[in-house]
Amino acid sequence: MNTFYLQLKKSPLAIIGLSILLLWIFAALFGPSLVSYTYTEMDMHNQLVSPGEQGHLLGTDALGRDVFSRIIYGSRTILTVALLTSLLSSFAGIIIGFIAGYFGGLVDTFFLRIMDILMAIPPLVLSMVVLGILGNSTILSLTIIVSIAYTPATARVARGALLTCKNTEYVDAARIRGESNIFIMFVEILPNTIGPVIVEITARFAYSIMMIASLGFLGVGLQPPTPDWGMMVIENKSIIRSAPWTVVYPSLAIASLVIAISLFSDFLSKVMINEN
Amino acid sequence: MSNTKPLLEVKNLKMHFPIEEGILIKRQVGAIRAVDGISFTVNSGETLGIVGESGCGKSTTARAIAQLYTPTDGEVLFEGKDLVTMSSKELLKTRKNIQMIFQDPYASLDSRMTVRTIIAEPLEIYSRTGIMKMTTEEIEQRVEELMERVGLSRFYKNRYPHEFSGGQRQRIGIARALALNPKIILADEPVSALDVSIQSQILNLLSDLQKEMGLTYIFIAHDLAVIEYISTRVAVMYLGKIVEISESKALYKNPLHPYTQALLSAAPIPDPLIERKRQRIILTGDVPSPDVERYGCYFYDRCPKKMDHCKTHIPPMEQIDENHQVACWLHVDKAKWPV
Repeated sequence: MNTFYLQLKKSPLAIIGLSILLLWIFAALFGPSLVSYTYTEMDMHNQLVSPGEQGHLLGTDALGRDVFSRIIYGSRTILTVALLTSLLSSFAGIIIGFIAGYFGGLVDTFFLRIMDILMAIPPLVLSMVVLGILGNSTILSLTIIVSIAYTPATARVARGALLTCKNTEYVDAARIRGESNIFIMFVEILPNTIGPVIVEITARFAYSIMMIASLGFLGVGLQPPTPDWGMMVIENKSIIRSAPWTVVYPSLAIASLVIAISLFSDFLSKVMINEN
Repeated sequence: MSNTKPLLEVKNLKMHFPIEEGILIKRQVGAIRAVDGISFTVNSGETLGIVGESGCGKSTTARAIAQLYTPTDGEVLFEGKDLVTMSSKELLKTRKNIQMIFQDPYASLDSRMTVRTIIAEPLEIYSRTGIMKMTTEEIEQRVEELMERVGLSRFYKNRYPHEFSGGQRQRIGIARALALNPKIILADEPVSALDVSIQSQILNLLSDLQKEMGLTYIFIAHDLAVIEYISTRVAVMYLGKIVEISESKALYKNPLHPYTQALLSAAPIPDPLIERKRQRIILTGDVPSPDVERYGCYFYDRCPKKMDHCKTHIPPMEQIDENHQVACWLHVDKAKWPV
């Protein structure tokens, strides 16, 4: 753990990424109690005011809702869904990838082909179609469907990580003392693949944010009036020329969060994978 | 010793690895014959050395005996019971008598576990499955006892493998193998990854442990000096076959198989006067690929003493004297040659 801090100190990009990420996490946790408006509150006399005027830090949209407050509330939903998605897809991916890789042969072929079929459809298209059919998206349905769409990718990473450890002598040593397959997979192999797995979870976190924002933009994400960054962008697309702040700030929010996580994830992959 | 029942008996053991082709439907297009029908016995308390060049199937033999691989054919009888056909429950019970020491002390210890966990894990699994009842304190005590026995301070218990040197790590591996009080230990090139000075320490430790605990070893190495030092009997392997098996001294003094002779002549002698006079038998060619089925002597291609008969007939194991067997037509009475 000490080397982790030492490495972090030497890497300014990772510090920037981590600080932005922590800032957004702070916003999601405490922001709603700090901002002066709720996400549905409409200031009817002050529609489309520019940033900084009338007490609206980032201006208001066509309905007179405070853009800053909506972004802060939006961070809550997007971080929740993205975190759940990355954890759930990694969890499912590790289990499927480990079972496929560990048993090999027909089991491996069976799972890999299913994953290939899922992978053949781009995750965005898959989620869009399923969410479109289901209608009203909720946090739950969004989480589950995006997780399923991302499971094949994580399963492949997990399988690859397992294969590098599977034929080592300490695994043979475990088998020779009669250890069960589950024990070998999750007590012997998993801790030794934790580097790639953690990197995969953080990278997946960034992808999930992009995905959720895209789905919101395409109108199949969370339904109004839930504040959703992607949806804020599309709602105000028609007035981008007259009131650019309504589009630019939510877009910046998406970009900053994704870039921050990516920077941090790059750093993690450097530290955690090279460590072994 | 000859009238007692052998502790381990290997009969016609074969380990073929299939070569497969095809993407969805796999069909077998051939096989790597890593171990191709070997038989030998190991008596209680002795050390059987297995020697041979890389790829001759030494390690595969050990792994097939330990049931890490399921043998293609043949029997592995431990105290008269066949491990290959045993149910998994029975195998678990028998397995505690057969443990293994691995070649690479860096790869064989899980780097995320402490020394305590590594040594205690065998005890814990047998307690979990109810085969051996041990309390936590008993396990703790046993771990410390084992560590001291292999020459490690018990204060190192909570350290991780990366904090130790190669020799110390191999000692941890030995302690782990000893944890279950096994009767037989399969040592798969346990010293080949170590410095020469450390090699002798580990070899001495192994022979001390043998005397003290009455252990039986199957000791695999490619270093002839190591094998000579530790073995009571030696089996020489070539291309998945045992070509000669003999009492250690007799083999070194009087090798019968042309391959054994070549192998022994390649070993340097640490006396410059004798070393200068040493005559080497240089074999031509390389070890052939083990992926074809052979109908003659496996050594035919490279044998300096080959005869026409060798090309078409696989030599049987011929008993030379009580403790010496060799698979070579030169040592079979011509009258007994099949036509």
